[in-house]
Amino acid sequence: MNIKRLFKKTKRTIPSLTQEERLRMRSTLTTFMKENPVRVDSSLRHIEQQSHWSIITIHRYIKVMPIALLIAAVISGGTSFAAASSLPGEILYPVKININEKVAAVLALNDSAKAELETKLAAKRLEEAETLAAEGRLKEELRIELEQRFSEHADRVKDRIVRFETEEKFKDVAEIEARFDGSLEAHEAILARLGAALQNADADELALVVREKRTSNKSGKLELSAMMTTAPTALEFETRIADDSASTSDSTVRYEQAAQSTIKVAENLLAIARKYLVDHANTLSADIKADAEAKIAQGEVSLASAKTHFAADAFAPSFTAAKDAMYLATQATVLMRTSRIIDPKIEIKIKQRDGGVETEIEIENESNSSSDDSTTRRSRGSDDVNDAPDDSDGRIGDDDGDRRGRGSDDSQDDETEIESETEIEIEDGEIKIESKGSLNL
Amino acid sequence: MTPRSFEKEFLAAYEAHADALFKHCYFRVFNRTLAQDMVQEAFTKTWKHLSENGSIQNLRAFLYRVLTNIIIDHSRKKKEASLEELTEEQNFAPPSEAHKDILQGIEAKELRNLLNDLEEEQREVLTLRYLDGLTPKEIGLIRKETPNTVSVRIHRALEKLRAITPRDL
Repeated sequence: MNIKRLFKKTKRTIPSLTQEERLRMRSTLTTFMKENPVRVDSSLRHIEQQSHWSIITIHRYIKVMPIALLIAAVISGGTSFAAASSLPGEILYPVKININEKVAAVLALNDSAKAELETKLAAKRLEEAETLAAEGRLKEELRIELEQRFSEHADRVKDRIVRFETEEKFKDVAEIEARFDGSLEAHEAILARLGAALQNADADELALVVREKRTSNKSGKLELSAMMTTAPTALEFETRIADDSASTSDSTVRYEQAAQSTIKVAENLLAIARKYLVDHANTLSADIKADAEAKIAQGEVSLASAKTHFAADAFAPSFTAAKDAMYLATQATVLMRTSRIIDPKIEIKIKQRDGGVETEIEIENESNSSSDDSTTRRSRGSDDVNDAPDDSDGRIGDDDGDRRGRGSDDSQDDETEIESETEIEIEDGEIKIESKGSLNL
Repeated sequence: MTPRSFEKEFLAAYEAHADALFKHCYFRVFNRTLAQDMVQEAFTKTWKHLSENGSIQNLRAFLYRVLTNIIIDHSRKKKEASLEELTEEQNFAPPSEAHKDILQGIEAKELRNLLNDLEEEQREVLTLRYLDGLTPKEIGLIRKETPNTVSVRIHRALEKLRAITPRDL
């Protein structure tokens, strides 16, 4: 065909870029690249190396994944439920980060809820690191990813603390700070312990990072005179107030408020820690139990002292003691949480019925203690395609019969509920997934 | 992938494809400076996307796609342009005065004249297919069409060309 020949000839006669032009363009390009650095998470993997899951793009991978696996991934309640306990490096982890946590972020309506959420997420990253380390899976890559995310969350908490100060919301400052630092302190200790026990340099490294992010570097006791950070923190503010305690009644009132709410929070946290200890007595090791018990007892002593001081209008010491109590309660809870092992079992039953396929999926989130923590989710899907794969009666895990129950997710105070329904339809080689869920916090 | 390897891969793609992209672009706009600008824009747009959204599966196809869009946008703005304008050389400085070099691009212009009666889209598929040497599958990736559609398009473009080409060519 003449055209083809013409093109061939033409190709040789069209000018190329000269060396000079090419280099010039390249330098303009590199300048542009420097001005627009990579902002995407380094955790995103190249698509050719690893699948990147999200509930929206799931239908594209139908040809690659066998249906049973796909359905297993989209467990009733949606992918997000199964993702809740996933770890970095696992397929559903991006769902956890991008969907679950984003949903929670949207639901945090006021500033202190947001600060609380960021604290929780920072702690979550550390928990993930600890779990990985305990399983011998904490590699540098993953550690760096977790470190980065943790730092972001921690920085955000600290920003909020500063903001609260300028807005003079001292109650919030105290509360957030105590929770944050208490949590970090516990994790720092855990990571250091894990690092030593398992000879894992990454855990050690992470412990150092955690230490850096703490707002104060004491080992458990609040000292009004300790001022380690350069940026103003609640700690400095307290010191200032204590120094001119004989001054305006204004600051006294503030201190009173701070003490009062901190006492309340400490009470709550201690109660939660107690309950946790009781509920999970069977799955905790003796060491941990003793440790936690000691911390809780100490916390209760501090709380009592705080109340006594409060009654005597000694608000500064009351505040101090209440904070102590909060720290201890948080540490105890964190300690217990991270030492438990949760072992979900996924059971998939696929039955053939009248040219369609019905699937039932159950997850059991087993723990030997109270039924509050066991979870079963059910999902039904019908496959309208005639040549559905015949995987009848494939089973994974034990057959414990049907069990229904309400599920709770991995939240800090065990009061979160997720309920949802999922429908899966397969039409023309495309899978349509509808998932309805509600999140109660 | 680390930011560092993003950059490396991207610059490697630049070295590999900048010239081919330039040639494609030149053949469609016939203006050296303009072609360079467009190719540059294609690369910077691609980088923006990479830096914000993460890795791209087929970098070459992506680059072509961005470039062809830029060309289409440009041609829409110049819709009213006359034939002479389209074929007129602007800012073209031949690297040397040799006889051969003066002819350089002339055959291209002739071909381009031929293709002028086609729609921009048809020019595009023919160029991608016969100048850049891309397969219908690859062209499909670039234009977000099935390879089938691409083949049909190419076929129709060739048909039209056959109808308007003078006999003695």
